[in-house]
Amino acid sequence: MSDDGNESRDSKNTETEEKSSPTSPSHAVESKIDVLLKPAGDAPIMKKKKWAVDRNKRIGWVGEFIKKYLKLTAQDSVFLYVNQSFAPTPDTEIGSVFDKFLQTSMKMTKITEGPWATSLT
Amino acid sequence: MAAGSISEDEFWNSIISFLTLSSKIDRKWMIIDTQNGARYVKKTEIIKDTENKEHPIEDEDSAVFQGEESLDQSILTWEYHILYSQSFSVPVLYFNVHTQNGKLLSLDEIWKKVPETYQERLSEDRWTFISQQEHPVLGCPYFYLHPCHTAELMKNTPAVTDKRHYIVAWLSAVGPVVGLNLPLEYGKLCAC
Repeated sequence: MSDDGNESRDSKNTETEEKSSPTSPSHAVESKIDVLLKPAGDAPIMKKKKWAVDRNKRIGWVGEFIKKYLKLTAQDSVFLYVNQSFAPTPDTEIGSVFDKFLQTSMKMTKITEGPWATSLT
Repeated sequence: MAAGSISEDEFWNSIISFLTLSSKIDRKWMIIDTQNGARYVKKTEIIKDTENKEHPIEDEDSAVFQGEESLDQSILTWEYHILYSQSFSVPVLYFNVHTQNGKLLSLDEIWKKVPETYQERLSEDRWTFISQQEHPVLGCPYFYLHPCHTAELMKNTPAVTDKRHYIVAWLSAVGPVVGLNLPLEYGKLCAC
């Protein structure tokens, strides 16, 4: 697929946007955040693009979730970027990302080979 | 030039953007100029060593000026350097960790501090991934993240279209492996 002859390599970029949707005032701390995933580059398109994610879930968890959903192997890895160019650390809570960026555009990169093909948990 | 790599000029332009962010956010990064004209970018962080290295010490004086009889072996100094690799046309992250009495950590000890997230997959590649070599400017042994796969990682990241953001994109993705976590503000101020 790619020009460099490494056909097993693949990359995936997906964008997410976040909007807060608290279920009720008394449950505000458990509010879920709407995450919208968009493909970019060579990324496969996700059939379901919009996900409600607990705000206390971490970036690493989202990456693992995407891996499972797309049936990626343990050799693949997922990197999530916001604002076009910044990868929050895997232990960053989605809620924090939303609070900081409000309308967030998140891109996801998948690496299939080499030392960076590692699980983000 | 291979996709995902950058020229040395682009590298330094991106470093300037990165340092501008640092000056607003944590002021922890600086350029070091040496007598022979070489330069690199550096950050030092003093950490109270816990299982997961979660407690940076902000007041450096209290960490440094303890009585000799009570040198706290759990306080570690992490030093990170960013240099440009001519061979691979990408940035490279060099680092060392030492205790309060100046003893450098070994590769095994460093390895134990890599977050579990990365350890499992890297266990087979650890010696090629984090290894030790002579620092190109200082000439003494430093650990580094091998740059051979950086272009591959970067060619698919968004920042490749705007090279000014290359350093933030690269460092935010690879830094956590060796305990270097960029605050969220770097992403917010790195506006597109």
